[in-house]
Amino acid sequence: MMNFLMKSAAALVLASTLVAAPAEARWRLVEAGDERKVARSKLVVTAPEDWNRATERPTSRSEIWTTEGTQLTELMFYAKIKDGETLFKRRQRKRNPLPEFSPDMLPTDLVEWYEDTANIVLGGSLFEIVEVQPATLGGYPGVHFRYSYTGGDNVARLGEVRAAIIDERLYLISFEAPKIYYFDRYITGVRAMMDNARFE
Amino acid sequence: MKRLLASVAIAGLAFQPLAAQDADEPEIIEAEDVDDTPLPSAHGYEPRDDLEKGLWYEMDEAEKRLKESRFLIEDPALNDYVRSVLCKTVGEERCKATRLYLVRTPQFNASMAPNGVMLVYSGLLLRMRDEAQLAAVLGHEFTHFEKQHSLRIFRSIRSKTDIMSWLSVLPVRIPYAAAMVTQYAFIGSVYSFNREMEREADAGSIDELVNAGYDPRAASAIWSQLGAEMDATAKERRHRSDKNRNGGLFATHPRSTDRMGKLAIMAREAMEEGKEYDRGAAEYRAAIGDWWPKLIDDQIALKDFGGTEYLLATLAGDDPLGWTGDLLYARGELYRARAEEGDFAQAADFYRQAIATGTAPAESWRGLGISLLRDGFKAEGQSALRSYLDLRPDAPDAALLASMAGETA
Repeated sequence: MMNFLMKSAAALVLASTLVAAPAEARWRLVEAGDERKVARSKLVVTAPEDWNRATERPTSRSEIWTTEGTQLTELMFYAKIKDGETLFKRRQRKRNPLPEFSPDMLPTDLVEWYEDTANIVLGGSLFEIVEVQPATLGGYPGVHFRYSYTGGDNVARLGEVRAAIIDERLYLISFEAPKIYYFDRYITGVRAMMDNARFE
Repeated sequence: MKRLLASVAIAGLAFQPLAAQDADEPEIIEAEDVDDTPLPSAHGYEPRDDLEKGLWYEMDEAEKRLKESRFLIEDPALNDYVRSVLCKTVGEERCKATRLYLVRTPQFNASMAPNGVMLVYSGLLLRMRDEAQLAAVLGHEFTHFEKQHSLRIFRSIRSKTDIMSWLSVLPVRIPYAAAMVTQYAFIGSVYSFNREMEREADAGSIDELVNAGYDPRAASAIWSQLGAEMDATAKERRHRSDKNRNGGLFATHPRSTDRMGKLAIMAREAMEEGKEYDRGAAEYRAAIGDWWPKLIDDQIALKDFGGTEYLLATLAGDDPLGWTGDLLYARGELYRARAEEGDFAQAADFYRQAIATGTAPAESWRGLGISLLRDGFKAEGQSALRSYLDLRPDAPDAALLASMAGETA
């Protein structure tokens, strides 16, 4: 009995298990150099190498990509998040409300909002912001931050986020992967993608 | 999606005591008359039959994984302290059977597995106001262990039906927070103790407290604090209080208000007139002190405004002078995080009061600066951020704050 429990409990990555993860979704190849509009918006990114995008969206304002399965590499695009909306789907609106986005947020608030969302969803205290820098997304001023956390599967992961509020809407790209091997393997390409993202 | 459902089901299972509902009361399992077989706390106790052996085996396996958990608090001083309170409460000899683990999670819980593994959550340490309260919880869990309550439930379930089919009908109503603790939460907390068992454990904890010289009224105080905190959470979030729905800490029946009253009566009856009973408030504060800022941060991150506001006030002891720099800073963080009308002004006020104590964390300046900027006081906000950067030039977000403070990077 207990072994069964442990196995089932072992899966927990920040976004993919929390939003309706498209485990049955089909994946489509995004070839290196392909330019694509993401998350039903005008945000255009260029794949630095071959990635796979899920044909099913976690939420109407997001899109998920992976190379080796979302447990190992998870690239999320969020676009046009409006005042009062949350990063993930709200599952327990009253008892465990997720923090809502507000266009009045300062860049520091965005970081805390992301951290708070993660803390509530993961129920954890091991989520830590490692570094925060001013940055741009598609030419607009925003923020770039790095974080680390350990989820329910006891795997240490690293993540990076680029985000900006543009016309009162939030645009955010996040990447996370296990600290061992996978993060380092992909982060350079992901950072380049964040740097080169543009609006059509 | 399958993965999600699986983890939801598991978390619901692991937290069954928290989510237990009165309507689904499991079958009453009579408290057995314990014969002259050795207690599980006795030296050299071994499981007595295949079923108990199997359960121990599973729990031992789970313990191996627990040892690798990044959520364990390894600080030897804190571990030694909690252990010393347990040993003082139940006595050095019986205490040897316990393997204690402190787990970093903001929830209010503790449990003990049949093989002697005791889990104490950091959220519990945050809420206890003195050593006697901690002793009451540890004594309660230890009684469940020594009376083999979970083993008896397990036995009864196994003899009736396949355990997984039984588990599958459990109500699934979990806090998000449950997800992260799935890796160890089920150790000892899979079981929903019945009313009789809870009474036994309550009575046991009162006896242990009195024998150890602790004030036994601590036990009912925990319930009144917990009930009030649940009310405060519910009021802010506009849902019904969980106070009588489940006990939160030791789960389910009897209702916590009844239980509080019964514990208070038991305490009164157990106390000898004229005898001094120890609360150990100063000792407790000294032992938890270094960890306190981290634990309150974990709590604030849960975004439970009502419950946290109540908790801060009780920690301040309902006394204006009890509001230390740390507590005022925490209150500022709480208001700033809620970000509703007027909250930034309130937060700025608390940060200023915190700074005025001279003992507040440097982050008070950061909070003040951001609150002022959010409220439109640009120059004052930038000046506060610069004060913070002077104190913490290596802060993780120093570069961003510098740009917000109008300094060119």
